[in-house]
Amino acid sequence: MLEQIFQFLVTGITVGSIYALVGLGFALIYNASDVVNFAQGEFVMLGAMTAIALFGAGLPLALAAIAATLLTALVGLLLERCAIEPARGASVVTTIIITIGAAIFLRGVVSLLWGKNSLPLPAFSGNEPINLGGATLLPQSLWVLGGAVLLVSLTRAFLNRTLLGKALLACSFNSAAA
Amino acid sequence: MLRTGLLKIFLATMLLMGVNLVNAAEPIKIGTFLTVTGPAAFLGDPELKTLQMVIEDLNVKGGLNGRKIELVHYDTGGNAREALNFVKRLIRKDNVDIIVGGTTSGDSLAVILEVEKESVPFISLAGAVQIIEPVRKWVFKVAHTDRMAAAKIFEDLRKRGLNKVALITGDGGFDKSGREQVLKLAPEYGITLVADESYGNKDTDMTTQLTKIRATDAQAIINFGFGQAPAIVTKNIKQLGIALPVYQSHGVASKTFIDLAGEAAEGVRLPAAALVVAEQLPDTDPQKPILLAYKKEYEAKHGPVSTFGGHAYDGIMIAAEAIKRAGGTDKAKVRDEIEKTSGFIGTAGVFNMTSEDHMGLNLDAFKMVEIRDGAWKIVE
Repeated sequence: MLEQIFQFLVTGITVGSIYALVGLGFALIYNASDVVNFAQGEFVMLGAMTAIALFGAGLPLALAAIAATLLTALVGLLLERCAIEPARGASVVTTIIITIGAAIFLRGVVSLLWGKNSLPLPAFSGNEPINLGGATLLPQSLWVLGGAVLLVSLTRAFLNRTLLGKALLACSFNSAAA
Repeated sequence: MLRTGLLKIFLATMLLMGVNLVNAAEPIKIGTFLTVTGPAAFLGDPELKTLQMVIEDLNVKGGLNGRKIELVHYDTGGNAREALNFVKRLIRKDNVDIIVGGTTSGDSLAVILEVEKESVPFISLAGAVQIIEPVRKWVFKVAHTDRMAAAKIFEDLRKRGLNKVALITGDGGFDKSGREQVLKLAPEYGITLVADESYGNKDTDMTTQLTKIRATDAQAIINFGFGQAPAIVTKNIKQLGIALPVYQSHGVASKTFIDLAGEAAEGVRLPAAALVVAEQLPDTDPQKPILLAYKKEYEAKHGPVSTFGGHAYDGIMIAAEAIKRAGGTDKAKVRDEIEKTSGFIGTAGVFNMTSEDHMGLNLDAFKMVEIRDGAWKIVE
């Protein structure tokens, strides 16, 4: 029984970390621009699909992952410049509608480019499970956990310690005063 | 007065003759309703392409009994109510001689009462055993049933001396029907189910259910489902370090499953139609030439074959043979001839229909295959 609880804990924390990372993106965008980004899920999908495509094209896995992150960030930037920025000062509902539109658009483009089926991407360091007191843990889970901890602490440091981060927070509290 | 009377008789005679002439050349009408769009499109699409291909071939060879064949098709989009409307239209408006179709079990089951009422022979392409059980006069089917898949897996388990099994299934129609058959058949094979877990077909992680299974004394795991879920289950089993034999259903007998599950798919066994492993069959196998011929022709035109297109091939060929033997399209005669189908070698297996069995396949129609080095290998 204890063994099972331990396994549920390991699985739960891994899956939870993935959601935490998605949530981090949500929170950042909302804090910086007051936009509730309904296309957040599509950006997660876009990052994964780009990585799969680049990896499939022969790039090493690490490089494919980094390039996919940058490309997805670029798409995010374009979305901000072309759709959110022109609607500056619009109501929350308007920006929500814009992001929903962006979500449908991204999904459409991706299913045209790479189809609608699920595709596999290999784990970073193999699929051999690590045994931990009866529970098993995948090396990939460690990457996920490490990545989540690192990104959350980096974001925190950025917002509280750097001038740019503080400026970002100030803007979101009161853009007129900032 | 007399002259106009004669003229009328003459005209009437000509008209009758004309009608007769048209009759002689009138094509045989085969009706079909398939799920060519929507979520089950990967089943219906190869079925329609196969029907068109086979009918074109038959027509090039002169048709059946000197008459050309015409296909009347409607796309149900997987909506059972639409299926019923289309079948009504096929029977009343298009006056088809026979119906070969019904991609999903839902579509097929929805039209059974109608074809029974109208006395039109119907060959279904769907899987559920309820289509032919109880036996209905005008309804036949050509696809393997989920019960056969369960029985084939149990046979293999018995051969390996395993009798404690954990079952894990999804929440779709195919999954549920498969689960029912597994639960029903297990006692007959002396197999105890020590776990019966379920998941949502859109879930991305099944480790919770599998952790529970790991805590039981199961000797093997059976997973019934299709789409991406069985691939995730297979991966999760490997991730949890569970070293038990894994059985999947015929629902995953496609290359996609191997691609998605990757290394974790190694050693997974499943019952599959012979079409999947056509090249590996011994040359003495009577099915081999049929399978290779169909595969070659289909792949030249449309890309990789699937067992579902194979079902359409079997259905249309059984119908064609029956019409040939009946010497026409008299519905009652054609129905009787379909029921007399025996020794017909199709892609799904060898069909021997009787008045009690309107499918006529036995367990030999399934091959137990194992995934080795990313490919199917027959293991019996």
